[in-house]
Amino acid sequence: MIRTLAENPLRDSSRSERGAAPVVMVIFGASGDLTTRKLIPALFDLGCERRLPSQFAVVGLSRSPLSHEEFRERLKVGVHSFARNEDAPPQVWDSFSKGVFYHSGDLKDPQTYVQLKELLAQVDKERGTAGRRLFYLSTSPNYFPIILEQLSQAGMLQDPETSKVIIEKPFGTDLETAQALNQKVLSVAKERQVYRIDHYLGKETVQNLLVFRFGNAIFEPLWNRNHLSHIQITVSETVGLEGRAGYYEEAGVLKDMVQNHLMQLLCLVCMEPPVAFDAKSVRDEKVKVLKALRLDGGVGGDLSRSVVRGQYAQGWAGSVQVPGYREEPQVVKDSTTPTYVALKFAIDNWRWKGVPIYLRTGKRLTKRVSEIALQFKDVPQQLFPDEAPSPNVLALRIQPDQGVSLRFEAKRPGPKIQMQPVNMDFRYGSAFGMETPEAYERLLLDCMVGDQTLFTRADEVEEAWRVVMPVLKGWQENKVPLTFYESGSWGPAEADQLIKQDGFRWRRL
Amino acid sequence: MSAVVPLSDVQAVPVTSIEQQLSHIWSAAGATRAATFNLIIYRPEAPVGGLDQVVGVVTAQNPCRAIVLFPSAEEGLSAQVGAYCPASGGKSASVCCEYITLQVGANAPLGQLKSLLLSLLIPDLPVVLWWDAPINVNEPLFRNLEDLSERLVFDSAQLTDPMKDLPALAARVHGGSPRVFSDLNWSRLSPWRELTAQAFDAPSTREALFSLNRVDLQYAKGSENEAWLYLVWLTSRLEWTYKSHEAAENGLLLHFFKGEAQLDVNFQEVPTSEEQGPFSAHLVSNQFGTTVIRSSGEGHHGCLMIDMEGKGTSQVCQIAPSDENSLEQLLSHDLYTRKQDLVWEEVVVAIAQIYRSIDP
Repeated sequence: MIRTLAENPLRDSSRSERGAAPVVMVIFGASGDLTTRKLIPALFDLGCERRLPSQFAVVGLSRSPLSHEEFRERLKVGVHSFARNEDAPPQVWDSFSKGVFYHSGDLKDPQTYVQLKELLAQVDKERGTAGRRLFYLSTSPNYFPIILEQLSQAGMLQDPETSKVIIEKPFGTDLETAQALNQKVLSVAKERQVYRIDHYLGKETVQNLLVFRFGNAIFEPLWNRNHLSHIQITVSETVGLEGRAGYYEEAGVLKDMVQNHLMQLLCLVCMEPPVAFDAKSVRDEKVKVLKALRLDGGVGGDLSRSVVRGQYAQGWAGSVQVPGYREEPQVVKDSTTPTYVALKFAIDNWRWKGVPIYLRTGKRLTKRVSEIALQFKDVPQQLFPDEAPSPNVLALRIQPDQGVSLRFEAKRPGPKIQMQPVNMDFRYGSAFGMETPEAYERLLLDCMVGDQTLFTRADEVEEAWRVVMPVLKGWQENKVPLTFYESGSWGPAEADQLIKQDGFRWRRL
Repeated sequence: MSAVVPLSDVQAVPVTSIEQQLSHIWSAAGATRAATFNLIIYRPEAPVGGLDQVVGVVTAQNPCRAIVLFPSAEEGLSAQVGAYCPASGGKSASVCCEYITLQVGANAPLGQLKSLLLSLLIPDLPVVLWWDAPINVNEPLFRNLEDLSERLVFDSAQLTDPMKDLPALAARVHGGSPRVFSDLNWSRLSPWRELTAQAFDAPSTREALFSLNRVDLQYAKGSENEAWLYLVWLTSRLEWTYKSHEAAENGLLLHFFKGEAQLDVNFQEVPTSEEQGPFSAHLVSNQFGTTVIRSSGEGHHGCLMIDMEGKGTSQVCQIAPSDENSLEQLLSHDLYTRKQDLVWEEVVVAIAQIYRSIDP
């Protein structure tokens, strides 16, 4: 696809040098929220910024009986509510929506795919999409193997140059199911056709991690066991279930957040410099980190020394009193689904040996914050006897107030030596006033231009599952007690103990 | 609504006290100063009512120390200083920018002005000159300010005598100037160039591009420079070489060649009432049909349209968001771009050659 675009002599001066070739995007599960709230607004915004090919179309597919027009109307509401360019002139939507089609069908019925193929051929004629397909699987994961098999049977995945598949999370529910799904995927498609999406990787600040680490010379020499005492990764949410009880009861915090988002953050922070900024090189390095990663329960691998699981009880979300998890609608009254987890990991390689890595994430916590903090070792000698310096911390904030801050000691003005920690702060919003694109915009465009760097590879997904499997198993065997924390707090007290046992404490965010 | 709010009253100060006054503002206000570059702005007239909207938006999006110069009937140099914060953040917890205006009297020695500017530049940060006036490359003030800067932002649409001024600029570009040039008129064309490129992304439409026979380019009064940039961008990308021209009704008939093939271009001014937007282009391939690129809205706003007639017919409408081509947005975009635009350089040099042929 990139080769074809390079042949367009008008392209090499275009500001949108990441132009995509003509394509039809087929969304399975098109009546779901993701389509209305994220996918179509992202495509519309890409269109507004002329990053979509002129010859582009979307075909939505799901069970709901809708006409093309009804589907378009539904999407229009979503665009008005969620697109960045929601105030674009009406004729822009009119033009975009002419390329939107809908097909109703049973995903298990081969006839659905025969009809889909006919529709796509017709769309090719009308929109000039040249037989290129991008299949987006955003249904319940149970349907993934079925859709893949049916697409294959219908001959729609045969050509890796013209057909691609995006697979939404969750990718499997454990290592075994992830492996089975990978097997299915790779039995009908080549890895280079497959885009396992984790929208966290589409966030600007997550990508900035790579630039920060490998685009600056001053940080990398410090980025190892010689200088760092430990790393903390926090992803906290203030929200509860938000109507997703059915999904969350099955998934819980580990599958919802850790196996995917937090593992990706950990990989980007801990990976070695890739030899090039391309999909293979970056993903190779991420896989190496995951292979060296293990829960750190000390001698004997005591799970209770490396894992804390919690569930929110009633409390406060801002000024609103909120129920506990078990009181939420559609949640069983004795549910043991964890909504919080704190974990301690070790990485067995030269760079990170002896540097504990702490992860915590949960729902109904005090603040919505995502942050990676690298804490430096203490100074080797106390030069100022009356003053105990605070450790230096390099904090990479992902949300809110995306940016980087470095905490160091400064002398408080006055006649004697008094130290005070101060922050050197960089805020994305201050240095770059421009609006940042939504994660899905970046990822959909990457997929269209054939760049897999920000998507997870089969072995990467499986390695991430391998890392968290002992936790899942331990929970199933009840080796880690379920603790409870008040909504609006920073999680269970046991999580404080987890880090305190090593002489550290969670950052107050 | 204004993009910025003042952090303090704008005050007239002696030019020797500018830094002290700024220090005073920051220490009194408790806001954080942010600057990622120095922005020197030359304007032919004084801004009305302190900070103008364009500079406000630009500094809100691109933290910098802005130094605005304009000619004055007064004698010597006089200065005003202030600081502004993004309106969205308010004064509290804000990251704010400095704004210095220098009124340059006709008798002010250039050496003094240059020395003052040098002392006002924040060290170790890039210097951008936005020359918001018609360029005369031989004008001493322009040359002195240009010397201070790593990047020159200007608008070729403002050239008063393009046939003379553009070749002069092209000579500087061609002469290996270390400076990065940003032409706002070129940036203004981005949607047109991108959309034209998009039209030929599909392999099925590519042939029409390679077999062009004629281009009809009609421009509205005042948009001639923009139309030239577009035309020469198109022909140079397709490796057509200018051969000759002849006078035609309301414009020129230009001839380009590539090997044995010839491309004819009707380059015509049309009354503004007939032309929506700055120009429209009909790219005619006798074999594959015509591609029309035009604006469906007024001026630079609204939608850009591509119509492709003939083989592989499809019609699309893509947006140029109404504020994308505002001066503020163009400037903000160009301030982010750090690299020299080699295609623009090539185009400007090619236009200069054509101009020399038309008006030797």
